[in-house]
Amino acid sequence: MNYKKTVLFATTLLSLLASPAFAANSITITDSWSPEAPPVVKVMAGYMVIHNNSNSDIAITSIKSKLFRKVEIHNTVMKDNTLHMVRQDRPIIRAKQTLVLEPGKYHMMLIGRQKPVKAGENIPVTLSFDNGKSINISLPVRKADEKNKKTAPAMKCGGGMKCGGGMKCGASMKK
Amino acid sequence: MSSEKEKSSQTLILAIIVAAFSLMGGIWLSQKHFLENNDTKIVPGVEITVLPVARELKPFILQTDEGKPFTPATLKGQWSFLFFGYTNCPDICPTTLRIMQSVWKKLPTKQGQPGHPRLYFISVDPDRDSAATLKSYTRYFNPEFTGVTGHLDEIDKLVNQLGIMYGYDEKDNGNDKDYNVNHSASLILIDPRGRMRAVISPPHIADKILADFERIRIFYGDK
Ligand SMILES: [Cu+2]
Repeated sequence: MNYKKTVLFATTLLSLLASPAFAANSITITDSWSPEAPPVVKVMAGYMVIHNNSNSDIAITSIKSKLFRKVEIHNTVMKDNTLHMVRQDRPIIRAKQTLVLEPGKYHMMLIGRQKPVKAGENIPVTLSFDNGKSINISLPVRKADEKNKKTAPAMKCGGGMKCGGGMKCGASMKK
Repeated sequence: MSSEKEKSSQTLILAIIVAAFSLMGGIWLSQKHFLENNDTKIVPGVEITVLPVARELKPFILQTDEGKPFTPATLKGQWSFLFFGYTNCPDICPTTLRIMQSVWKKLPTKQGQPGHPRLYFISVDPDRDSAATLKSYTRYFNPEFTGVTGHLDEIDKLVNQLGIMYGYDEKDNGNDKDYNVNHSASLILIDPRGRMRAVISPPHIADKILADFERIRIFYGDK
């Protein structure tokens, strides 16, 4: 392996490490990660981007992790001037679209941590979908970095939320 | 020795000294005047919501994570950021505290220096958030951040005057430790006289908070 190839290989490997991709036919999951949480708390958040490559909508029916008692998907929304975490029972990823889980918006809520999880470790998670498929992913636990300098929960709303006042409305599903 | 010439030069020196002192005094007075005048003005050029008239806080008694009383008097003497939440909040509370941590990293002042602010994370979930929990939670983000909580009645006395709201989602079936708490995401800025001066609504962006805070500090002063 010559030098250039080695660099290319290393770069590819690095980019894979930085943003793991998990695929099961119609679904691809990228950018999965979890911010390291203060050791004293037993809940953590998980973020990822779920791509639906198929021509039909797909719903998430369950999420499990052996490191947590239960896993839910929540959406952080502003309602009556307070932030609510609204549990999404069967989050749908529209055909050919993407569901983005990111700080201050949709997030995986990892509840009841069974043992401490530190930056550098991985959280295994299994997502099951209504097309019968399931997909195993891992969330690299990271110290939150510069990428997360911003919270954006309040002024945007999507999904089933009613928008009023000075709020800007945008669909949470990106194309 | 006492020629006319020498006397006049002595008088001149005296005059210069008097002039210098009165100039300094004048600058001091006008600055004092300037700051006092600004008290009822709104600092220009900031994006956060500044109250035209700073609001005095009515009494409340909470406790810090070190067991000290947290009252309106605690907030006197320095600028303070207040953020309300709970430690079982995995998304918005840590995200906001991380943002405040990046603000802290870029502050021009260090702890103990004039103008250096404080941050209080006030838990509206005292049932689950003990002082010990709050202490290790807040210190994880920054050793200067302090947790605060107390009786709900006293929390209400504080939040009601700040326009902060919170509430509990109905407790989960099966495990009633899993309930969520809904809460305002705004940061409240308290001035060194212990009065509510500004509301920082989300989305929170570290660089903007930093820039606005510096403007506010310079405009209203550190006293
Ligand atoms: Cu949540």
